[in-house]
Amino acid sequence: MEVKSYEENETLIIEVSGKLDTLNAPQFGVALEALLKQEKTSYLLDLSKVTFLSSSGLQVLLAGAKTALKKSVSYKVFGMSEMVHDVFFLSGFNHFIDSFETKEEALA
Amino acid sequence: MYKTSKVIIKNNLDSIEPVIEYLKAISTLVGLSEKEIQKICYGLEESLQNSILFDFEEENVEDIEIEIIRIASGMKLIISDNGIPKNPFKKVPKTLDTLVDAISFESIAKHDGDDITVLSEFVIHKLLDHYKYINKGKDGRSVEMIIYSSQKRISEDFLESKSSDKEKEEFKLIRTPLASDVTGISRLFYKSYAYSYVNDIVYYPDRLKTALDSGSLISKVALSQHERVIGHIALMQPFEDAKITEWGMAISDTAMRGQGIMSQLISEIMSDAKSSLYHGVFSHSVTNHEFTQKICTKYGFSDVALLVGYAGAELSFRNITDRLSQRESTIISYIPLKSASKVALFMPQQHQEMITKLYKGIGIDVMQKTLEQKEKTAHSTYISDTIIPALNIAEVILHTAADDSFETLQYITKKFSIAKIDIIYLYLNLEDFASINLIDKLESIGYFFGGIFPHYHHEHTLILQYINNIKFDYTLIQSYTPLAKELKEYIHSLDNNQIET
Repeated sequence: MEVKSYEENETLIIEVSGKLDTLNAPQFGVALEALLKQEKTSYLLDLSKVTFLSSSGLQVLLAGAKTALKKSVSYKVFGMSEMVHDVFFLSGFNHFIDSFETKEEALA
Repeated sequence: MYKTSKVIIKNNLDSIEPVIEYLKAISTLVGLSEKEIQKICYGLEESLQNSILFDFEEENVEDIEIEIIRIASGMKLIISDNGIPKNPFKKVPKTLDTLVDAISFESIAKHDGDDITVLSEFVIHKLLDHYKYINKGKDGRSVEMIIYSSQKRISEDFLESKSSDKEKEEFKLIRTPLASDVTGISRLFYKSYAYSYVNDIVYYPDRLKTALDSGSLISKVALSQHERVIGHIALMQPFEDAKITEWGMAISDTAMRGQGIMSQLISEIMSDAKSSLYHGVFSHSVTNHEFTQKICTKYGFSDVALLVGYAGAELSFRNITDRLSQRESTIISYIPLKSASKVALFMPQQHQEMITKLYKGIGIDVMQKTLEQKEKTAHSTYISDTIIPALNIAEVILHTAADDSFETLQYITKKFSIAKIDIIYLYLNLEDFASINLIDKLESIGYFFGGIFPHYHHEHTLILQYINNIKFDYTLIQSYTPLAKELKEYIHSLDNNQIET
């Protein structure tokens, strides 16, 4: 699992790749929490390279969303593969985190 | 057709990926959609990962068993292990709201197994159609997951594709098997009988070939236009230098029935029999149904013996019955190939009428040999005996009878009884007075009439049978011809092990 970040249009884009499973979710959580401490007004998670999103990975995404809400900053995700999308939507996480198909839609 | 398999892995994370790949392959094979495959694989990976990380003591190497079962409407997984019991007080909620409140980076950092498991089960519940945790006490625990296929029944799909393939197949020809047909013969038997066919040579293509090459087996195969073996029948030499041959190993592909395959196979093999040096052909017909008996009658066989309990109860057709309630009895039917119209024999008086009827059925008139015509008693007893382990029976042949024959036979009977052999079949020579003179004594120790068996070790053989403490229900023994029915009732009246019916 790898986490990279870059800025685009005043949004911090966080690119996650690999498996977000129970083993490495805590590590992702630490990385995401640290990135959310940067004083940005908008965060966008690129999940297009996530191959597996476990419940632990979902927890981290949700923890990020709650943190962003407290800070009144924008927090969105985009680019989920079909299976990741199913896990996200069927478990109801789409009610708590805005999701988009492409980066352009998310940044619009 | 795939039904079920079990995989056992160790409780380490590296074991997960291979079993996921295996599940993907099985799911594809049984026809789940790509999405359904992804979901069931997700459920398995999620469940295994959490189990391995949280539910075993560190350093303990344990097994996790995953059973993958095709069900009519989808796929079922049963994951069993000896991991710690689930916290029964942390219930899986119906909605996410309850769980959301508790989630934070602090709670994630704690890496609490119970919390993660609850959310994990919540997600799996949403993805799959059925999820159930079972606490089995000292036997550990299990998790059951099911995904139903959204397509029409996957078994129907699979069967339709297979049956539509078969519909295109047609019966093309009958021939003496080539070397290339031998494996096809084995496969055909396996398809119908699994591993329950009584003559296990069918499961060894190399032994079949050897028997065919030596002439101890004379076969005919029916082939489809794709050169697939769809039917088989054989004449089997029961022992070396036998003057008779057994008609059997008859089988046809159930999907190809109605094309006259078996009738043609029988005609061909009987033609081979008639042009051979054999004196006669016999058949062991099962009695849990009448089908084989009817076939034998149709081709001119006549019933000559009833061997009570000849075969084991588990040896049966795969599709007719998996296990009979008692050992299978067989009716021996016989057709002579060389003519013999009259013969004089030493018939035991109590069985003379029945013996006469049985010989009449095969076209031979028998008359009682008189004492003036008796043979000299042999100097020594010559007996051979053999156990057939697959059937748990013994065959005893009294070749020559002398003064010590009864004691020897008594000893052999006791020996086999102690060894828990279920049935002993004793073959006596009807042309030997000394042998037939033993019958009263033999019946006094439990032997009873079985029938006749021409050319089976003797030219004219009388069968006696000994049942080692098994009660048979004769109402379950089906007999087709009037003679078979009469023979059955006759033997029933003589069987001192019988159930009161």
